[in-house]
Amino acid sequence: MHMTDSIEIRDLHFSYSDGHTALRGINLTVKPGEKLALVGPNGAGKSTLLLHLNGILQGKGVVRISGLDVVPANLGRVRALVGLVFQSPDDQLFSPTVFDDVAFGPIYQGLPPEEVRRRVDFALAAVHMQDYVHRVSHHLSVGEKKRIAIATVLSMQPEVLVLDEPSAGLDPRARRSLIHLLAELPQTMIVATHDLALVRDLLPRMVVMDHGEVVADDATGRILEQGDLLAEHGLEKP
Amino acid sequence: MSEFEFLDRVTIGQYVPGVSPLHRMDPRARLIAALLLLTAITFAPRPAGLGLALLVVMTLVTLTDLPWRFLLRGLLPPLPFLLFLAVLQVFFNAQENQPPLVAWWGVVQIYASDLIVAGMLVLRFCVLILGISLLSLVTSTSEMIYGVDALLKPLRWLRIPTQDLTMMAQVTLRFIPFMALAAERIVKAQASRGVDWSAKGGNLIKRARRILPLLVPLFVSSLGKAERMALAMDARGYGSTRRRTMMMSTRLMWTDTAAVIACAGLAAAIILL
Ligand SMILES: Nc1ncnc2c1ncn2[C@@H]1O[C@H](COP(=O)(O)OP(=O)(O)OP(=O)(O)O)[C@@H](O)[C@H]1O
Ligand SMILES: [Mg+2]
Repeated sequence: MHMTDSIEIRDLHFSYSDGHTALRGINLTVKPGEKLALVGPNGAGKSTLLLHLNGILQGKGVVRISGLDVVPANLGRVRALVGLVFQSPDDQLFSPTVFDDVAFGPIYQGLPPEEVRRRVDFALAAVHMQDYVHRVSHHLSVGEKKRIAIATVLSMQPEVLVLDEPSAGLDPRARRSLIHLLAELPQTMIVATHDLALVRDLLPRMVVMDHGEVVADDATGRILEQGDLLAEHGLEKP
Repeated sequence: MSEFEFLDRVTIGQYVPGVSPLHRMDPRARLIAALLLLTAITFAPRPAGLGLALLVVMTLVTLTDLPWRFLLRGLLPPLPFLLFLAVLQVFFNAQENQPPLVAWWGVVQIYASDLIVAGMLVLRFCVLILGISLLSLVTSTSEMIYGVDALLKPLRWLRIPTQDLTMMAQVTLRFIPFMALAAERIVKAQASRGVDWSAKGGNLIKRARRILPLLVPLFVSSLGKAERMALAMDARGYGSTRRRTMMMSTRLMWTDTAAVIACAGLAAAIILL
């Protein structure tokens, strides 16, 4: 049986308005349920690529989510399918309380109040932060903010989870529990990170980017064995 | 409190959960009552009215059990500007001078009426800040959205996008503590590179010169923040449907109606006294 790909990217090019070209012909297919790492040096274009997945940036080429073209007419549906967690949790959280932030997505999906509450409970439980529901978002620590940031998209029950550097700034224990948390989630997952130990433990497939291009795409184990490939793109074996 | 803790001094835009009568009042009634009182305070023409307003606000604060220290702290940041304005008022007010003459140096004459005008300016702003702080301290965002949305509903009839207006109100409130945080960050960054923030004194120009390097990055970072906040909202599907779930529905109790009527009466008294 043929399954629709979760993510399909064909020949994607993108330049920022200042003329800087950040993506040069990206091709990528991700199957439903696949967990994939996006690695590469600073400035490789990882964050830029992720922002294309729910149409925040739109370049030249094709981006499809579950068979749905990411074009202006589809943005509402695409954004319900793709949960994007930004690199900085301060950008992700904009409501006064944790509850308001986690409920934001479901509220603007127009779900009934009972369902909104259920989703918030579920999402906070998934990141083990139930006790924080009435806390003020901007008073939390970086690690707590990260978890809440992830909860804000889990509450939308997306099919694809897109995480930009989820483990940056976490202490070893928080990092460990983040890995457990992500491993438990059934969604298709694409994670941009510099944390190759996290990649090794969590993500079976690895895509290496540099200068806006995909330079390698293979099983994580196989890529981690190629020392010279890693070195060439500023990576170190964990 | 360190010299860097700006957020602690910003009482507008923060919410403190509680069970006081003010917290329990219907959000719509609370907003209407607040609007009535704040309007009256803004336009109160005579000192007696302002005095009454101060009394009303103080009574309300007592009802909430909020710590006075916290509320009063909110008055500190704008105080220098207020005093500056007050001094300007003493010399350049449009009121007719009324004796007695209190002080004079040659052509400069200060009448009692000048002092009253200046005093009223300071008092008016202090009461306003207290009032607005009080409203935001007892009103959560969901309540605020619910209330504003309910009050704006008639406008929807004129095809005005009330939902976006409500969101604007929410974002504006959220931005006040953010600006304080951003200012705090910038000041710390500058202090760590040798800018002396605690230096007191210096004339007005010197002080302004010290604030300028704060204002420019604050402005830039606020714009950036606003843009990223918009992105974050888009990313979570804001505006992808016109349906928005109302998380609360409340029924007006007779106490709410009574409270609004009482506040309307007080507002009238503040103006007329
Ligand atoms: N808003 C912008 N305007 C112009 N250029 C930008 C903008 N954002 C990013 N860039 C540039 O695009 C390139 C790719 O940036 P991107 O943020 O995608 O890199 P990244 O792989 O996520 O890096 P990092 O590992 O540091 O997060 C960089 O050279 C960056 O300078
Ligand atoms: Mg990045």
